[in-house]
This record gives sequence, C-alpha cells and structure tokens, in this order.
Amino acid sequence: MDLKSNIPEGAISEKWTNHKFNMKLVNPANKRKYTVIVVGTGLAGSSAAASLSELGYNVNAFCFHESPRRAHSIAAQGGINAAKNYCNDGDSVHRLFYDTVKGGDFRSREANVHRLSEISVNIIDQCVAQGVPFARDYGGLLDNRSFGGAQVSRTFYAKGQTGQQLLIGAYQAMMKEVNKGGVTLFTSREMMELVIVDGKAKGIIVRNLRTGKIERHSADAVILATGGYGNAFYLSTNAMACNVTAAWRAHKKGAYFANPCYTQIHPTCIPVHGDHQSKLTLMSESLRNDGRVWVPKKKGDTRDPKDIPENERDYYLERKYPSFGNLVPRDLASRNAKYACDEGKGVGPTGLAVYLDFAAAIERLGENTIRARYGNLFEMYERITGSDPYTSPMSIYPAIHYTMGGLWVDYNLESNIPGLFVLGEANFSDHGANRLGASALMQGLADGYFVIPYTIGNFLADETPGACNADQSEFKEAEQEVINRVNTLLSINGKRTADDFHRELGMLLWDKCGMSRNAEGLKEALEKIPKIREEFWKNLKVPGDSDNLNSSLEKAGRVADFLEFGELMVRDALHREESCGGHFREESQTEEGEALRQDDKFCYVGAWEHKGENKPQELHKEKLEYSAIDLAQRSYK
Amino acid sequence: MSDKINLTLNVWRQKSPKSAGKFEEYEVKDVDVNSSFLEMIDVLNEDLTKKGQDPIEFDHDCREGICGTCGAMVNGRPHGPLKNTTLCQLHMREFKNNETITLEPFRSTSLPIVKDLVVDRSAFDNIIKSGGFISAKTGSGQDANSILIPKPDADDAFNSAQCIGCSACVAACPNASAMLFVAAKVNHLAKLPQGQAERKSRVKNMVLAMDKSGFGNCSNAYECEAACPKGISVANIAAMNKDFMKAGIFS
Amino acid sequence: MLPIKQYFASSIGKKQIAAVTGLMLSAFVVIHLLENILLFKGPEVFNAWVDTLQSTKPFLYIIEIGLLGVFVLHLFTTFKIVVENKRARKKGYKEEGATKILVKIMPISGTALLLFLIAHLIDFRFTNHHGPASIVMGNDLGLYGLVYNYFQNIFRVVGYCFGLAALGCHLSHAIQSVFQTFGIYSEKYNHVIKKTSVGLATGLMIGFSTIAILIYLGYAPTA
Ligand SMILES: Cc1cc2nc3c(=O)[nH]c(=O)nc-3n(C[C@H](O)[C@H](O)[C@H](O)COP(=O)(O)OP(=O)(O)OC[C@H]3O[C@@H](n4cnc5c(N)ncnc54)[C@H](O)[C@@H]3O)c2cc1C
Ligand code: HEM
Ligand code: SF4
Ligand code: FES
Repeated sequence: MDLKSNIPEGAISEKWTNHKFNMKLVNPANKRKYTVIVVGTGLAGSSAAASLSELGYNVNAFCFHESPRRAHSIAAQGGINAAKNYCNDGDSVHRLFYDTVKGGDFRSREANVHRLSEISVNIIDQCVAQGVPFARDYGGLLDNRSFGGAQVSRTFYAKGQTGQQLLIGAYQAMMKEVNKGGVTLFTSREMMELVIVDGKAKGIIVRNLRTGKIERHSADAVILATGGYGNAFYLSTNAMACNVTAAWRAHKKGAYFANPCYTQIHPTCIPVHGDHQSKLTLMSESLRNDGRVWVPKKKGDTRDPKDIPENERDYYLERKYPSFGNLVPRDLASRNAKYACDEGKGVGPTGLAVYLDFAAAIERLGENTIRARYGNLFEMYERITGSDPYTSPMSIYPAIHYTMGGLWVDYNLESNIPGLFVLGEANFSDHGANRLGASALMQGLADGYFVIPYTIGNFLADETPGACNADQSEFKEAEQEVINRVNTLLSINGKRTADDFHRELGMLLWDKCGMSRNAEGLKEALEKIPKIREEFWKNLKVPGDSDNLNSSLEKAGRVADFLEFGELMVRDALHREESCGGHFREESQTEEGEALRQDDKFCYVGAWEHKGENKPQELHKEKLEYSAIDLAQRSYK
Repeated sequence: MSDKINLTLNVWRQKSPKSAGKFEEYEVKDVDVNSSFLEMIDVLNEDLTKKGQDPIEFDHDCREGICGTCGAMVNGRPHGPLKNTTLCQLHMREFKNNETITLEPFRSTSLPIVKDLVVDRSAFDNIIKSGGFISAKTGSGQDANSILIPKPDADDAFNSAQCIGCSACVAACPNASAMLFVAAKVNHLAKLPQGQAERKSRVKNMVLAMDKSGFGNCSNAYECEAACPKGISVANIAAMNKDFMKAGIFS
Repeated sequence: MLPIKQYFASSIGKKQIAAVTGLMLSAFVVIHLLENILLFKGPEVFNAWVDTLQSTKPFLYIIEIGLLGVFVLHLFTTFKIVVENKRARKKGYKEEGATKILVKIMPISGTALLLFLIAHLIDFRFTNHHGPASIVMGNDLGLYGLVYNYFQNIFRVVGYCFGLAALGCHLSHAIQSVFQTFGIYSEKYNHVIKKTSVGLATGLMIGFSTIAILIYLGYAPTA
C-alpha cells in the first residue's frame, strides 16, 4: 500500500488554514448521530473527547485506569511550549517550528510541525480559560522559562506539575461533557482488539479490568490516544502500566508502525539502586538550567564529591559544547553521560551515574533562590535517595522517557486504516527522531483540542452513521480471539512471572537498542527476542482467574505484546544505518564521535506493516521533504 | 549502602467486593532499605506467585507521587507515617528491622473495596462531573494574558489544585468525609477569575453530589489535612463552607 | 439559592444548624453560670432574681420552650450527623490512627451531657421549689435552699462535676469548630480561636463545678 501523507498544498504557513477550509463538514444536526470511540484519556484523549462532544458527536471514552485523571500525562513536570513570544525574546511560530524540526533531527514531517507551532498559542489560551493555574509573575501575567535547551523562554509551567494541571484541565473539560451526556466514560477498560469492518475501523473489544468481562463496542470511528511504549525497556520513567497493547493490536490489524526505534532517553533521572527497582524517576530537565554536570577526571575515583578539587573534575558538557553547555538537547546529554560511565568515570555505588552539582548556583544565587526554583524536586530527590542535594551533588543517569515512534498517521492524524485516528504520544508524527523538552504536552493537546475536531469531520462526512453494530460477526470473532488469548495466558501455568520476562526483555533492549546501537548487538537481540517470547508462552505463570481484578493477568497480556513489539523495534533500529536524534548508530559517526545523519539514504519515515505471526514486517517508506528549512547537520558546539 | 531488614506484614485480603475479608500474615526477608514500599510488596508478590499463591492486589501507577492511584493504611495511617508523602514515595528506610506492619485498604462505604487493598474511587469522578470544571468550550479562550491574575491568587489556586484525588483524606477522616477533596477543587476554581461565572452553581452541585455519594459529614477533626500527601489545607474547607452558605442562602 | 429544606439537609447545612443551635445553647450556659454566681450573694438576692424571672411568666415559658426547641434541634441534627457518619464507614480499621480524642468523643460527651441535663432538670426545674428539700436550718429558702441542700451530698457534687466535665469536653472542640463551620479560618488567628475555645469550655466547667464544691464546703451563706 502507498503511504499517502495527505499534506495539503500551498506555502507551509498556509497549509493548515487552507486545509481547514477545504475539509468537509458534518451538518450540526447530524453530528449527534455519529459515535466516536476514544481510547485513552491522557492529554490527547481527554481533550479530544471533550472537544468532539462539544461539537455534538457522541463520544465513548475508554481508559484502563480507574479514573481518566490517572493517565500518565499527569507525571509531566517541566512545562509546555507555545510560541507566544510573551518574553519579547524573538520567538515566533516559525522559530518554534524551526527548533522542533531541527531538534527532531530532520526526521519529522515538516507540515505537521508547522501546524503544531501555529496551534501552540491557542492551547495556552484554552488552558487558561479552563482554569489551569500556570505560574504567574507579580504583574499577574503568565511566567515563562527557557526549557530543554531552547534559546528563548517559551515554556509555560505550573511549578513542577505542569502535566498534572493540564491533564486535570482536560479531564474536567471532559467530565463537563460527561455531565451533559455527550461523553460516556468507560474506565477500568483495557482495549484488547481493534475491530475492522469492510476495511474501516469500526469498534474495539475491551476487557473490564474489575470484573473480567469482555465487551464489544462499535462506533463510526476509533481514536487511539494510548500513550507511548517506553515501558518495553522495563525500567523507564513511564508509569507502571504504560504499554503498547492498543497500538500493537491495531498494528496487527493492519496499521503501520512508524519509526519504532526512535526512543528518547532523558538525561536527568535518579540512578538505579538495586535489583528490585521497579521504575526510574525523572528529575525535571529544568535542573540543568542551574546544575552543572561533571564526573571526576580520574577513573574509579570513589572520593566524596566534595573532596574532589575543581581541577580534577571534568565538566564534560561545558567542555565539549561551549555554547550550549549543560543545556544541550537530551540525546547529547544522555549519550555523553553514558560515555563518561563507559570510560569508568561514573560515580555512585554502581558506577552508572554522573553528578549534577548546584554548589555554584547556590553560591551565586543563594540557597533561597534555588529552593524557590527547585524546592519540591530537591525534596523528592532526598525522599528517594536519602541524600540532600543542597549539600552534596545529585547523582543522575539517563533513562528511557518518551517514544517518538508510534502508529503511522497522515496529516489528518488518520492511520492507513480508514477511520482509525491516532493522537498524542501514540502516533509518530511531530517529533522526528528526538523530541524537544515541553513539546509532548503541546502535541497531545494540539491533536486533541485543535486537530482532530476538524479532521475527523472530514472522514465522518462520508460515513453513514451507525452503520455497524456490535453484534456483527466481525465483533464476535474479535471477542473470541480475546477470550482465547486470556484463557491461554492463564492456562500455561509455568514457572516464571510476567515481570520476570519483562525484565529480561527490557535489559536486552536497553543493552542493545538503548542509548547507542550497533549492527552486531541488534542482530543478537533480534535472535534472542523470539526465544524469550517462545519461553514466555511455555513457561509463564499467571496466578488467579479472569473473572475479577487480576493485575498479573493484565501485566502478562501487556508483556506478551512488548515481546512482539520489541522485535520490531530492534528490526527498525537495525535497518536504520544512520545516527539521528535518539537513535545513535555507532557505525555512523563523525571523526569527533558525533552523530552522523545520512540524509541521502534515510530521510524517510520507516513504517512497518504486519505480515502475519512470527513473520518479519515489511518496511514502507514515506519520504520526508523540507521546503521551509534547509536540511542541515545539527550542531550544538 | 545496601542495608537489609526483615519485616512481618499483616495484610487485609479480600477476594471480591462482596466477600468477607481477613488479615493474613507474611514474613518478608532481606528487604533493601533503599527500595520503596511498593517495591517491597512487588518482591513479596513475586514470591507468592512462584509459590502458587495469589499476590496481593494494590493500586499504583506512576510511582512518583503524582497520579494519586496508590494508597493504603500503613499502621493506621493513610500512605504511611511520613508527612506529605504518598505510599509509592515511602521508602523502607523509614522502618525498623523486625517491625510488624499492618496494611489495610482505605475504608469507606462510598469507596468500596474491589479486592485486597484496591478501592473503587468512582465517587470522586462523579463529584467532579457534577460541577468541578469551568465551562470553557474548546476554541473559546481569549488571549491568555488578557486575564490578569495576581500572583498570590494564582499561587492559592495552584495550591488547591495540587490535590491528586488519592482519597487519603476520606480514609483518614473518622467520619469518612470527602470534604477536603471537594473543597480543594471548589477552591482551585473559585480563586480564579475564570471560575467566577459558575462559582455558585459549582459549590452547590459539588456538595450535593458529595452528600449523595454517601460520604460522612465533616466534624472538623482535621485528620484529612494531616494525612494529605499534597498538604492541602483545611482552610479550603472553611472557604467552601462559606461559599456554600453564600450560594445556598444569600443568592 | 437552594430550597431551604435541601439546604439544611445538606452536610454543610446540617453542620450549620448544629453550630447555631450549639452556640445558642452555649450562650444560655454562660448566662446560667452568671446566675449561679448570684448564689454567693445569699438566698435573698438569689431568690429575688428567681422571682423576677418567674414574674415574667408567660414570657419565661416562651423562652423555655424556645430553648427546648433549640436543644431538640441540636440533638436531632447531631444525631443525624452521627448516624450518617457511622454509615459512611461501616467497618473500622484494625489499627486506628490518632484522631483527636475530643472530636472522637463528641457523641459521647454529648450523650453524657444529655443524661446530665435530664437529671439536672428533674432535680431543679421539676422539683417543687418550696418544700422539705428547700429547708435550710429550719427556713424554707426556696430554690436557693434546694440547691444548697442538693450539694451537701458528696456523691451529687461528684456527679455534677462529671456532667460539667462532659460539657467541658464537648465545648472545647465545639466552639472552635463553629468558626470553621462558618468559614472563619485564618492561619494567623487559628491558635487564638483554639485557645479561646478550650479556655471558654474549661472556664465554664470550672466555674460551675467550683460553685458546687464551694457550697459543699460551706462557703455559701445560709441566710
Ligand atoms: C516523567 C515524565 C515527564 C514528562 N515531562 C514532560 C514535560 O515536561 N513536557 C512535555 O511536553 N512532555 C513531558 N513528558 C511527555 C508527556 O507527558 C507525554 O508524552 C504525554 O503526556 C502523553 O500523553 P498521551 O495523552 O498521549 O498519553 P497518556 O497520558 O500516556 O495516556 C494514555 C491513555 O491511554 C489509556 N490506555 C493505554 N492503553 C490502553 C488500552 N489498551 N486500553 C484502554 N486504555 C488504554 C490510558 O489509560 C491513558 O488514559 C513527560 C513524560 C514523562 C514520563
Ligand atoms: C448545653 C448543651 C450543649 C451545647 C452548649 C452544645 C454545643 C455544641 C456546639 C457549639 C457544637 C459545634 C457545632 C459545630 O461543629 O460547628 C456541638 C456539636 C455537637 N453536639 Fe452539642 N451541645 C450541647 C448538647 C449536646 C447534646 C446533649 C448532644 C448529644 C446527645 C450533643 C451532640 C453534639 C454532637 C455529636 C456534635 C458534633 C457534630 C459534628 O460532628 O459536627 N450536643 N455542640
Ligand atoms: S485532598 Fe489530599 S488526601 Fe484528599 S484526595 Fe486530594 S491529595 Fe488525596
Ligand atoms: S503510584 Fe502514583 S501517586 Fe503513588
């Protein structure tokens, strides 16, 4: 099948405007006849559900969480970007666009990014109108900060809890529609299968996680806003239950999976403490605004950091990237931490950590200023590690944080399956090979509030409302598949837990498909994963039954999908013989050891098609063209 | 660094919402003091699973103290002994070797037990649904900086908005009242200029929805404030009482 | 605005009824203490005050019935509050947190208070003010005599003090609670409110008890 990106004609800055005008509209009186399923109630899902219901559509919203407000978006700390130029420091829609494309290492779709930048301004207006309590200055105006290496201050924030406040805003907007009857909420429901009727997405099969009941739901279109797959790595900054299941089920029903190897590694996380570690905690990137990253110059130096004199410290980011210093993009900061540790200069009990030091900032600004800026983060750090960052430097290490890859979508956010739309982190669209800080929240909300309300109409206008019902054979078959799968998981009765397999897979992916990759390692992983998967289906142990709350069973289903997905991720990484963004391919680097992109060979989106169980997926390419920006090697020197 | 301790856990086990539950005792050996409380249960659960027993169901997700999913009574205190800390952020260095820890679900009629330590908090969603929002349709927002909000008001609203909906306040309250949760939301929106248009209907509807869910009445015991992992103040309750009175009688 | 019935059926409405009625009762209790202090002015002054009150008769009855109404309303609402509270958590915890004891025992201190008040009314309001029980050293000293004789018995003094202890406990929490119920909260003055509440409650408790004890010890004039 051809990958049609459906990018509108015209100059980059007019595409979206023209497209909005050219799209078909659904008559207001007819909208209520259409039912739309929204899976996921994070920023992307809640905002979509609320906006579609406001337009008059009937929305059925699903999430596996017990309440929509628990979606993982809640954990975002740092902030959300918008090209408001409130600081008069030279920001503009075009600059945000430029920064995002460049930050994504020229692997994102230019037209999508421009739209995102245009919409960014409306998002802030909308959120403020809803009562999101963004930080303000003494004049009562919104406060901005510079974040994640941006050279302008365009990030809006609410202390270290921006994601929480934005999600609560979107959740409340959705609950208002629930109250009016436009949105029906289905919580504690996990989507287990996508239902396709006559080639179009027409419904889903879900499992009620509280009662175990398998349910069929039909609709005129299906929206997936199910978040990222970072948990494939077992240890990540994602919430425990984040998973790839919804996306993967859709993929196996025909949706292409784009750029699965693009994962983002966040440089400032709290290092691993031991074998039973269940997740990694992110420390907001804003810490790098005032913290200085260093390691001892001497290998294996176990002295207390305070006893290491200045001239025996290597502030490697400041040394290598004098103009950006500690504020280089995430991929560079992460990779350099890895190099330092690989050289044996890592600190802490595991040697897998570097210092993030605030001593200089405290001396310059005073402890009170630092407390005002980072007080809650410092407290969190101390609570977790038992060490006080005011008096000794933090230890940090990179961790998996975000996934730029996702289901392939066109400009309308529609996948190659008609009627299946994908929003938020679950799609691949806007961040290319690397995401800039504070732009995921922006994208999720842009997709939900301001893109899907228009583009879904364009699709629905040609659909007969209510053409399908959940008693059709397609639904019953899909339901049976799900039931069989659940029963199989429960009946294996082997010796190892799902967590156990997950850990094994995660470790392998982190090792071979993590911060830096090479063909040999990737090939090794490609051989090992099927073996783990094989053992999984023979030796898995799932306690309990399927007719009530059983988190082990939930976990097992998710791990089963990770085990299939992980292989695709590695396959994608192996085929992409270039370094770009979060994907650092050791064979492709400059003489100085910096990432080397290969635009002549790889300037495309790699979208994979499922070809059947245990068969390699087929690669389709969407060529990326840049009309508004010149393709250039990134440089942060 | 890696100290180990042994513990006895006394855990409430209940198979389903309707079945009778009981306490069961478990010995947990060699717990790493740097691990979190939930990681300690993870280890116990892996053990139980391998032994063919049902693991303990407990709710959790972000493990960063922000999603509000986790929570249980640890020795009679919601989220355990540390102030301003969710259960997932509680670490084992707070416990002594050979200590016995009693683990119970949050108990209240309005948040019924689903299984073991997991409770059903949909009553909270119902309360928000009844009025915990500002009706600003998508696209209707004016330029964000056209609304000036004095910093103290913005900070106040933010402080109230920090509530993570964990229901520890209900669990801690001798009357199982949800006043702190409701008041936090009422106040978050009441303190902002954008929230004024619906201020009166909001407080009325939310209080009535809270009552309808069957939560207890507030006796001003302030146990909620002491248990709240986000430090939500009972000043919110006072303010809501006043707002409710204004809305219910004087308007 | 809400329909009055709905307003006062709400949790906050009920609390406000309990608070207003409780406050009215508290006001009465304060006045009552002042009355009791008159005991030390001797039988004549005290009885003269009693007679003045009696002379307003139909009016006095209205006040008494009003007071009774307030009391019943207080009982009724707080009873409803307590029942609902119990229903909101049917099964308690194995290990209890440390709820402040005064709050926890509000229903108990209230019930003790109720029993005490019933006994108190039987003893003083509904016993004939002139009769054998009023005779002190051969003189019928009316209500004054009744009170005087009553407190010659150590068990009655102790019982009375217990009743007042209940009042003390009840009001220590109750008065500060009224402020919160009506939305008066300030970081700055909370400790003042709290201290006033406990102070007033203990003041009342000590005031009433001291009077009884002093009478027992013979400090009240007999003529
Ligand atoms: C620790 C952390 C900090 C971050 N900080 C920032 C930041 O400062 N700025 C920024 O811009 N971005 C940040 N990000 C990234 C950003 O938070 C996320 O990318 C974004 O919130 C994702 O939103 P979403 O709506 O796509 O998905 P999510 O919020 O993850 O929501 C997924 C939803 O899908 C549901 N779901 C998933 N699978 C199923 C299924 N099978 N069936 C039913 N429901 C399902 C879930 O219940 C949930 O409701 C951060 C991320 C992390 C992990
Ligand atoms: C002289 C008699 C009494 C006085 C002065 C009095 C006063 C008060 C006051 C001021 C309150 C506080 C209301 C608030 O929280 O805002 C209160 C509460 C209460 N009273 Fe009384 N009261 C009296 C008698 C009783 C009796 C006889 C009972 C019960 C049998 C009772 C039961 C209660 C209860 C249970 C509460 C707590 C309600 C809650 O939890 O909010 N009281 N009282
Ligand atoms: S008020 Fe505090 S304790 Fe209650 S739900 Fe909110 S965060 Fe939890
Ligand atoms: S698991 Fe999210 S708050 Fe504890």
